[in-house]
Amino acid sequence: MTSPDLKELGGPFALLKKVLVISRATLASQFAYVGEQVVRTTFLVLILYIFTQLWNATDRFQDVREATGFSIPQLIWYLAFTESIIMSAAGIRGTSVDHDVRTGDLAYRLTKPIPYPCFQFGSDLGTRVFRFFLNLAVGIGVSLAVVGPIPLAPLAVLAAISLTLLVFVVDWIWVFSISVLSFWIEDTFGIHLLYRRLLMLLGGMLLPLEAYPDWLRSVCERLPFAYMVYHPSRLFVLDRPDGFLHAVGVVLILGIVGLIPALLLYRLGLRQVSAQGG
Amino acid sequence: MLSLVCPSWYDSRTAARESLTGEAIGIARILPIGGHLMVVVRVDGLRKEFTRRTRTPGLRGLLRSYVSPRHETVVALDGIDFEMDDGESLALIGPNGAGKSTTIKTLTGILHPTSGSATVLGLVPWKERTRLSLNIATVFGQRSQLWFHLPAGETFDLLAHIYEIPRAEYQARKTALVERFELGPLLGTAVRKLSLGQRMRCEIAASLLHRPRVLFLDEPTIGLDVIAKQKIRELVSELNRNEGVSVLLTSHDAGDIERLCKRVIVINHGTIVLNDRVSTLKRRYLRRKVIGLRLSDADVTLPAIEHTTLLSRSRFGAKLEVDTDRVAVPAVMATLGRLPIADITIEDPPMEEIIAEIYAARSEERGRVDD
Repeated sequence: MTSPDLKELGGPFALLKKVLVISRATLASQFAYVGEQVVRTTFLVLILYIFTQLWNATDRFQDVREATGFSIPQLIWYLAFTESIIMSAAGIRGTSVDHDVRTGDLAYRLTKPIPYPCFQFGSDLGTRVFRFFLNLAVGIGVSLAVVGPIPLAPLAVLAAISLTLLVFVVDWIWVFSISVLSFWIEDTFGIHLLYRRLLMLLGGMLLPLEAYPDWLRSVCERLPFAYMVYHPSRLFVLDRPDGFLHAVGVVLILGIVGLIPALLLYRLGLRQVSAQGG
Repeated sequence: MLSLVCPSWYDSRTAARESLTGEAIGIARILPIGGHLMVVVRVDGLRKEFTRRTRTPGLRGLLRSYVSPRHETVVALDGIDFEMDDGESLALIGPNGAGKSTTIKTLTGILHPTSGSATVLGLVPWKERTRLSLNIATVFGQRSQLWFHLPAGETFDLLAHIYEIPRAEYQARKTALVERFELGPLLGTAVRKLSLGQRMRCEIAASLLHRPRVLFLDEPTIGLDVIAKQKIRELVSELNRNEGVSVLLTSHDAGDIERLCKRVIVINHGTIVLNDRVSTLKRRYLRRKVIGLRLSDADVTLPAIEHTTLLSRSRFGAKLEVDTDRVAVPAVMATLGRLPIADITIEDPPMEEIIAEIYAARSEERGRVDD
């Protein structure tokens, strides 16, 4: 018989509120080490400077705008945006789910009145949003210093940021699917590494897809990775939000497709928990 | 309504004698809530097996394990049964690997059992874990629920949202807990800067914000110094007494059990070895204490103390065993207090020894019955 005076959980809005509160707390905890976070962005400064030199050198032999459809300042601003997306992930794994499973911290998280994936999602999203905007601020500063301003369309920028936030949600779902494999395999680092590298190379992190050879471009356009990196970054430097709705639709489908294995693996994985001993 | 639930070792003659003498250990308990006997934890034939991969040492063993992996089954819980009443404080003790933590992890829904059943507040933990978690609290001595980089107070606020505590209720509860646990100066400090004892006080207070009905404590005093241990014990005991929170505690430390619990379950190799009152355990098996001395002067002559045996001696140290049936520890301490002592520790006999004694006593009893 169930105890008559049990407290009951709130509905979906209560759950959403919990996720947002967790995100806010993670965001706050990121400020504890804001100095370290800024130091991390030095890589961004370096890579933007190097690429400016490379594009300038290339431009002497071939017209960059003609080859890529983007001016050199646009390419640098594009790179600042793609790097902000990639570097905002917390390490190669992008989440601490693997760590929680391996160390047994999962046990504590499971005993809270919020489903573990929701807790982790809130926590990872807070970190990622903080890092993204910090990287973007630094990236814009460096871009202004090395190539000067480019004309930005407020609507396109808004579309780029909105799509990026949606991408973070979908990327988290895919990363979570990989992480829950740690219920069965010792270390998922290799799979995470492969996923991140595919995002970088086939997603158009260093160059927009227009700069790729035709055959590679057509391959990349058919793969999901470009929707996670290239499309939001392209929107950022364009003067109008072309292709925004199409990209949102594809990213949503990617999210739904990723959600099925993520939840299935998680439910199966919970039965595998073997937290023997202390 | 009277319910009499007897574990297998509890024979009817003992039950009759203890009932007559008023010693019944709470196995017969009448706690009418809404006209029902309220058992908050019910465990019935709970069994948990783990499968783990094994291999022989060395490179050859490693390569062979890839070709033909070998697995072995470890039985962590071997069909245990017990119950815990509303407001009771129950200790689960045993050596490493006995199955204590597995029991707690199963009862909080973290682990799925291989077979058997269990309910906590009427809910099956591994099926209704999230709903159950709103009504219970768990503190693992070796883990933290506090956010490492945030002040403890901010984690409290976060937990208030996670546990859906109304704002006014949370503020009142927080104020009361901060006062009782003396957390005022700690609330604004980042958790990473707190000592283990301070952090554990914060951990327990955090777990009580939502007024749980059952508190699971898994080794809450592990790694703490004597003063911090004592503080934690006082707080938990008071909570159990004043708020009626049921406490299920696991520990290696017999001191935790003596001061916190009325009933004890001794578990070994996944089976229940003893389920009895703490007072009975103390009377029968915790009759010795080991006092460790570190002296500030070398070669001090130790006085002879009645019913106390010198176990070992070095230039600056000594270990004494006190027969607590015959002499009280404070009396021994009073004598030792005259010595130049730098440090002193009082320990119970190790769990392994207590369990060996329980087994010995039981086989002796069985032998008598057979005769």
